[in-house]
Amino acid sequence: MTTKKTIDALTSDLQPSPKLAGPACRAARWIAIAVTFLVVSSLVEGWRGDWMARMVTIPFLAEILFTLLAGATAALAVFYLSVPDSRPRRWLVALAVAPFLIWLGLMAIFSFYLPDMLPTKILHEFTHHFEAWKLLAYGLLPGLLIFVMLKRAAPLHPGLTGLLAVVAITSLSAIACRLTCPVDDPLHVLVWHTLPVFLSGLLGVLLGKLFLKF
Amino acid sequence: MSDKYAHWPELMVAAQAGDNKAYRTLLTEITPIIKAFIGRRLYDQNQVEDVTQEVLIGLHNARATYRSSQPFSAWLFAIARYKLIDHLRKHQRSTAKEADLTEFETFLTDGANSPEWGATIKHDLAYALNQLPDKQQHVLKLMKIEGHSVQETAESLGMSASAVKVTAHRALKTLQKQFGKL
Repeated sequence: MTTKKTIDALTSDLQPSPKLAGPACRAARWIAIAVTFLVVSSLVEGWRGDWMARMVTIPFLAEILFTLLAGATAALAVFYLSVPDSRPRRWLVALAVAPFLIWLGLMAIFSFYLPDMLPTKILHEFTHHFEAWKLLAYGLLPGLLIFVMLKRAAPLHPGLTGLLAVVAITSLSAIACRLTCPVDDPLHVLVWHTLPVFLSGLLGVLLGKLFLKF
Repeated sequence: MSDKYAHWPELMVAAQAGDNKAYRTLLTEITPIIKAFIGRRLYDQNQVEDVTQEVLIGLHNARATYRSSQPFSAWLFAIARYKLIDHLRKHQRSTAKEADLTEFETFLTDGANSPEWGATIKHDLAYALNQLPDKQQHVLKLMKIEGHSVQETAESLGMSASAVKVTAHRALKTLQKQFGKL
């Protein structure tokens, strides 16, 4: 097919194509829907009895705030990355990654400064609690929604977009998990609430390359 | 970008509203610019044409993402660069496969004719060749082992030259797989 024929084919049956809203607006919409869904679904499961008391303690509050920040900034970055633009966007990735790294660092510090930290305890944590499924269950619907919204746009970096999208989903899901899970041990939080966000982000690279190419 | 292209954002906005005349004008005007952009990075004119069409289709699929508040050229060239890189990646992979095949072809010819490699290689080659369909066996024996040209092989087997090339290519690919199992 020649270029002229391609132009003929593209223009012959042109339908109006409503402009997508701006990236910040789409990110805000997704965050609002995802947060509403996660609040309702975690309330159905039942929040831990002492959540109000824990919310006024600095470590718990810092953890929740940095998790929320990691999810929100990743969502913002991912919607900006889904619009073609040749201007440098490194600051966006830095903006999305920084809160997540702080959150990961906080959890690692809390865990490894525990007085009774022993290899057997780490092993016990890995073998006796498996909660990653909750993170995935909470994130499934908001995850489908963000991928549909991104597919409607034109992500030029499908792998990076997929990674940040999954980090956005799982970070917000991690808050829902934290509010329903009664275990406060930092090692447990690191292993089952924070690390799965990081690992599922790697899966996001694959998902992005599979589903977000345009 | 020159002032004569200043109306492109307006044309794009009109295209988003369904104005196919504005869209046709836009696509026609940007095509030489895209071709020049791609042509600076690719030498093969057929590939330049293919990638240009890919860019136009990409632009069409991404047209809802354009906002008049953003520079049109930044948006357009981001798509063009993406499609070019995508093409180069795919092309690199297929070039690597072709290179593998050429390497195997050299190995096959060397193995058949080298007195040093002699017995073992010839025995393995004969075994792998016998697994091929008769037509492919004849083509390979004449071209790669006896060293006949495509034309001579075609005349000898009563085939067209292009059919000989295709048969040889298929045979080599099959043989490459077969030989890998030995």
